[in-house]
Amino acid sequence: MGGAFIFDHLRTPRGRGKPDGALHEVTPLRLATTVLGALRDRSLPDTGLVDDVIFGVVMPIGEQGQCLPRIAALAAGYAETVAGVQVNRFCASGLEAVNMGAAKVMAGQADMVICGGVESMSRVPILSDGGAWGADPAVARATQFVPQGISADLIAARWGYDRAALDGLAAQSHARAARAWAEGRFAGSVVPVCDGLGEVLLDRDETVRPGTTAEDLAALRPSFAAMGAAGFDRIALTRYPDLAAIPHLHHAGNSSGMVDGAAAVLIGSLEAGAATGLRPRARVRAFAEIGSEPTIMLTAPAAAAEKALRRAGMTARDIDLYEVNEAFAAVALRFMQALDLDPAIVNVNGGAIAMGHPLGATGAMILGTALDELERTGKATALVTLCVGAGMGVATIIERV
Amino acid sequence: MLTTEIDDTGVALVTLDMPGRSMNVIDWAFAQALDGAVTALAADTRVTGVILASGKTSFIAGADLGIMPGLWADGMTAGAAAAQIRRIGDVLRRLERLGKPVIAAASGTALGGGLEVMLACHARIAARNDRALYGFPEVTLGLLPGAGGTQRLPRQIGLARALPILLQGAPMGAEAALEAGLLDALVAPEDLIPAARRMLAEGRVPAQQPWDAKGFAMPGPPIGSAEGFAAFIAANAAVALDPGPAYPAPGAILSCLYEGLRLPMDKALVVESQYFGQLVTGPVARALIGLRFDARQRLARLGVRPEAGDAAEACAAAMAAEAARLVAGGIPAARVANAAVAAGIGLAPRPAGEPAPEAEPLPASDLQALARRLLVAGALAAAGAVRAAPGHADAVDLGAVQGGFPAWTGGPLAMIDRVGAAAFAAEAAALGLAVPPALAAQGGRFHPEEETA
Repeated sequence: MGGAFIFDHLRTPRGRGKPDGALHEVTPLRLATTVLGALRDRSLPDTGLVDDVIFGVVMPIGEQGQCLPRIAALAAGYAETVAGVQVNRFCASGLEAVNMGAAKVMAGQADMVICGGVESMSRVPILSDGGAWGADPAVARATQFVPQGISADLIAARWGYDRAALDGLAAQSHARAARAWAEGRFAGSVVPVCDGLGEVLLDRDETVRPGTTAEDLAALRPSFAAMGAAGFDRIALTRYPDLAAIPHLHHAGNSSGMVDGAAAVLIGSLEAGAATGLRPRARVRAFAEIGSEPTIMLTAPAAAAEKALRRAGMTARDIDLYEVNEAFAAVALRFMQALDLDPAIVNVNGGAIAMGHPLGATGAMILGTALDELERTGKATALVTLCVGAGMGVATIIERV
Repeated sequence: MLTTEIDDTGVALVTLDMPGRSMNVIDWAFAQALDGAVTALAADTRVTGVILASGKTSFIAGADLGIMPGLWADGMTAGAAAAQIRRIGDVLRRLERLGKPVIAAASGTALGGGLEVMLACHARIAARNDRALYGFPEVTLGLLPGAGGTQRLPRQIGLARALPILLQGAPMGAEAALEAGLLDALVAPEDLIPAARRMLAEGRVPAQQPWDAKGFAMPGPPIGSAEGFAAFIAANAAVALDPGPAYPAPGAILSCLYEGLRLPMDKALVVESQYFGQLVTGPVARALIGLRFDARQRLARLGVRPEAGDAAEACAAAMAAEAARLVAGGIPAARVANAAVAAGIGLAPRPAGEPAPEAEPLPASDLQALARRLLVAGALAAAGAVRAAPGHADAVDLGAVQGGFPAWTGGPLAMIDRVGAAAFAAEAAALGLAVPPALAAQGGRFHPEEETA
């Protein structure tokens, strides 16, 4: 059994996921063909070598429906032998796509795959695909469903994170992202998105606000208080009855932003890479997915990371660099606390609070960010993880070769 | 019970007038009579339209709760109860598929099953009547409208307007019913039947329900739209808050809507009857009917309502004292308070204490066990204070529920009756709670055997 190697990766910049966002006029199809086209131009003179395009799409309906990865491969002019498949593991879909692709390569059932994801949240809004969990009384009641914002506030309540701690992490996310852009750390991996005439619409992440301070954020109003009062606090307190109340602390400024974007990671066997003259940049060492208590929902990154570390025969100390998706500030704080991590090696170039979280693509984006940072700093190993709806977590460990 | 007069224009005036009752109710005899009438109206080629009316000042007060013990009797399964209730639902389905226009002309109140009958007609008018009430109070008795109410109401007026009517159960007056879309028109009482005749003559009553027509769409956002999903997410949370997880009926109603509104009517009615069967054979419907109907009936028959006296206060105080004892014994105060809220117990004062250092998720059964202690303590206190005077046990149950003992139990004394005094005393002793001599001496029951039987 051979290994799975990362040869290249690319992403679009992330545009604000609203009608006034820079990428709102761009279809999700074109977001996907933008990264597929750029990857072909840079690393794939013969697209016929690719077995499959595995993309996360979390709202796979409307113009993001119909197995978009295959349609995007066709639209990007890839060989007609290139298949495509859409995967949905909610917020970790982009990383799940990487893991599935790596598994195919490791198992010898694919030579070269493109993994990643795409989401135009401005055009296909979050929650537009329905779904049973919160809506069907038969499961909502039994599993004590609450929306993710309530879960994030529940994490803060359970581990005592106050508003200042959450806002501090958010301000740091902006500062780190701003520094990364200023120093050109993303330059090798971000491909601009152009309009129909080839003019650049967006070439950097749109939602980063340099100079944002925790004091600025302190003025924002909590987002989930009304939702909590409408019954969800009661549900959460029935599951976590030792809490007397759930203070509502998360808001638009310390939660991930809704954005548009796409990412692609080229993964293959050493032999397939050698045949096309590609140099492997990293190896996918191990990965894991896990489920956990669904009401608090967003604490599984720690368990997923520990599972992947066990599988790799490693400990948390063996990892040089961590990326944990900043779905909400409390998620990153809890992850660092659970693994007892030095914040200086976690999300060093900012995260989704500053740059946004294009649901289907984020996992592949932060995997690429981690790889670039390992190369920049000469470090060896990175662990990438995301919290996932319904209490799941996904983690992937990569090491440079 | 049902009389049919056919005039020379072919309009059949079907009048419901149950002998020996001040109000019409829905029972098995009614279902049989209506079934016969539908068969006759279908077969009679002279009949071109039907008016369904009442010979009383109200239309139909609702289902006769006397039929319920037959549905929860020993040996009745949820499936058997569902099959029974479908006898009524099937007749209403036949009525709306008669193939001739049917208009309901209500002289007054139509609650529960009475409103279900109206919704199975192709048009609905009512007399202006200050005393008339319309609505679905089933949820307050732990039940749901099991003869098509959960399916026809949203299809008629849309999900958003149907939800509070079904989930809160509060009856509304005639003007509000018109506003809500339950009624098509309000007319002067003396003009009720002439108005119905005019609507038939003018062709304003269709011979088919909208939901039986091709291309039917429920008013408002489609059930499968993002708005539809959001409405259910919000409604699930709202019923978790009020009345809370101890009451199964709101959740069952929401399931009827979530599942049934995606189905054609015939399949939807089967789903509804299954949820009805589960509710009527479960303990909560029985307890709520015992408390809110039987106990009140017995007190009304006594003429004078005895005061609950100290018993209700003793019950509330005993629950609060037991809560304080649990906290003193090391159980986090928040856990005790949350267990009480989840069980629908109104605790005053709420136990106070330090927050727990790390809150682990707990299974619902842990909270239920804590709540059970509070309920047993409260019921023991009520049993120790109840007097043998006629009606006093009913007054204590009603008073205790007013004072924070949850209604889904049927009241503290009814709760003891359900398991029997001896078994209850044994449970209390096992929990380490002192059993009052009154309960130990109580060989029989606080309340008579099922009144509704």
